[in-house]
Amino acid sequence: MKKSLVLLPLFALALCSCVKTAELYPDDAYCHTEFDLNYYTEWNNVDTLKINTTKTVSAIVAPPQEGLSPSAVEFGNKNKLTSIDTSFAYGYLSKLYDGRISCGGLYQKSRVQLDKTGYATFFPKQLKSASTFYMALRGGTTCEKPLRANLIVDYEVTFYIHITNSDAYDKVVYKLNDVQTITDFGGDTRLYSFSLTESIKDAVAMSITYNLKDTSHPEIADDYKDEEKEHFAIMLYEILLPNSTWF
Amino acid sequence: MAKKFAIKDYESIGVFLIMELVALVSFCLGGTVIVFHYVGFVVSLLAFFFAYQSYDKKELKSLILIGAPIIVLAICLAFGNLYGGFSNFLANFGVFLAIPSFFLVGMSARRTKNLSIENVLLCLGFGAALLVLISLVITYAQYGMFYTLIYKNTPAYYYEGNLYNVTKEMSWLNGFKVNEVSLKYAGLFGVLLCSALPALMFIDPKANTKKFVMVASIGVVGLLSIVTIVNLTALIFLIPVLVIALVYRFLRDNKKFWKVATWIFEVIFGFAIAALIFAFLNALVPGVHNFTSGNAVLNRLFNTNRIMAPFNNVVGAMFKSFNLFGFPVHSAADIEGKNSDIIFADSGIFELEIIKEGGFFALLAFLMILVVMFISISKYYLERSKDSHAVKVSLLCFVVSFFLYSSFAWENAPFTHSDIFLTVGRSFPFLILLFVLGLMYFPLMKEEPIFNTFERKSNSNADKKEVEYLDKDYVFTDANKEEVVDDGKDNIVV
Repeated sequence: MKKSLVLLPLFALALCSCVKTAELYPDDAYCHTEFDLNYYTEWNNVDTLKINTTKTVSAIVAPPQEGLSPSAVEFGNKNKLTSIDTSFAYGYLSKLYDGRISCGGLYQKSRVQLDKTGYATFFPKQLKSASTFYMALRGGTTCEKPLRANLIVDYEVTFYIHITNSDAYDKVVYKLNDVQTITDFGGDTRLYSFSLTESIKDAVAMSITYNLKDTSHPEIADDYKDEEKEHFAIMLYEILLPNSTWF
Repeated sequence: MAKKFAIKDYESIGVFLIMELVALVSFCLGGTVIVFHYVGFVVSLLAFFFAYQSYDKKELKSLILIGAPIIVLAICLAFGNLYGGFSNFLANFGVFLAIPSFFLVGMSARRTKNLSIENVLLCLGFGAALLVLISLVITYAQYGMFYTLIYKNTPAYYYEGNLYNVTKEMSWLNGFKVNEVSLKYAGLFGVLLCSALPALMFIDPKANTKKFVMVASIGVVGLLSIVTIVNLTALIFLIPVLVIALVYRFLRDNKKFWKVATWIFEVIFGFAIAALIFAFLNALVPGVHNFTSGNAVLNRLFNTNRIMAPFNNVVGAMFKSFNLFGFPVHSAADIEGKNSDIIFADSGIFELEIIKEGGFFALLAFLMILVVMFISISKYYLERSKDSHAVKVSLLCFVVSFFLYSSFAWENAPFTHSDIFLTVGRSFPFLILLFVLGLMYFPLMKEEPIFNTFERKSNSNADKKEVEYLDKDYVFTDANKEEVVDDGKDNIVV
């Protein structure tokens, strides 16, 4: 009896796997009032993957939908990744899978703020099939007077495909060139989409980077380390892969 | 020749049903309380049927004093505007049946001949302890121990794009799945389980090892759920439990102490009543509110602190015509549109939640129940009941800690990742409270309640064997009570 009582606390400790405490942040992480403190630049070890081949595809971007339109809002809510698979519900990046394609009064809490180095993440599961990729975003700057402009931005959306029986990965890079990005129009966003003409079956990770091509506003830069200029950021609200399947 | 029908032959069914009901409700089986509303009603009818003969006419008359406010409270909470009155009839009617039923089950349990109060309390304790233990094990697995301290500086996590605080929640078995609940909600169960610990002061661990271990295990589970998670709110509410336990153990027969304590209580009570009346006036009369707002100290005391801010909001809206019988979420008459903000704001105060659910009359009925129970417990139950000291102190600690905790830390939306709104009348803990109040209820118009002495009038071998099974150290009987010696611990020697 005494031995079992002694072992009880050890048993309790042995249970600790701390699943829920794997990804914790300070209260104001990425929600700071100061713009420059909210950039998410994590690559979550995706940049350490061993790459086998890289295929680059020029994506044909469909005309964007207005993020505040009821149809777009309904589309986002209906096709969010957390509905497709609940494993997308956990983590900071679940903001991108919750169906909110615009601010909705939540400001920093609803979006991921990116500088030109972008971000990368592993999916919680392996992609089996997907036909179209959507992303809801807008531009934002530190300019005192909102720019209220459509800036030209090039995007690269990259998928990392697991090669069976190998520790290497193939990269499929979708290039979205000359995308008119609505900037500083409050919480208004645009929902961009393109067909996944090159299969991304077995994708385990993705990344997004961008390059501010627009020269009409030389006072802004897409690099938040540039101390001489105002800063530009992409506010990414949502990633959608409607009707995708995972395993 | 056919055997004559005798109620006592079927009493064991009543015993089983009461203990089963108590265990399952305290375990919150299935997470759906509506089922137990109707099951509780059926059990109460059976239990009352078996116990009916133990009532005399005077006792039944005195039941009106407690029965009337309970019925009024049941009507208000069940059919109040918050839940749409008579529109959701099946669910609401269940609440109406359940509230008096569980009180009746408690009363009848005391009057059921072969039902030991201690065994009923053990059922209640084990049911709740099992729920808390399972939830605790899952919490250890998912969060670790002492996580509220460890992650104090990095408490934020995201779930479905929403920001949550890991130090304010734990895992909880809800029906047949696991949900995250607020620590305030889980803390209520922990504190209630800890009310079993004072009983250990009255149980001889050597003479009554089995009982000691059983009671200790119930209390220890509650204590672990508070200490290993570092639930500070719940820890604070263990202090009254400790104070009551120590006072009961060492000072209950000290007349001088009670004289002073009663005097202090009466002074504090007087001040409290005066403050409450002023608080009501402050919430309802603009002139008084302007006066308190203009003074820094009074403003802090009566307007801007965590307790008075929701108090003013709820009480201020209580007498609006559309809120008189509970606060409807949507009402055309609610021109300012403030009702839903008031309803869903977490006041943390059980009594305010009763007002939201059932309106002003629900509050009146509830206060009347409190007054009657206070007199019944303090003047009759504690002095005259022949329950063991272990039972008395546990029940007392249970009731006091429930009311104290719920008056300051009630959680109306316990599930972290969901907006499910939990009202008082539709919660498992409230049913348990009603049962315990029924158990402690002493009729006010009878000097020596019959039920204290009706049991075990015979000394037959069957009765003796039953006594040995239930508790060989504790016997209350009219036939041999002059031989009973109370040595202050719960091992009464015959």
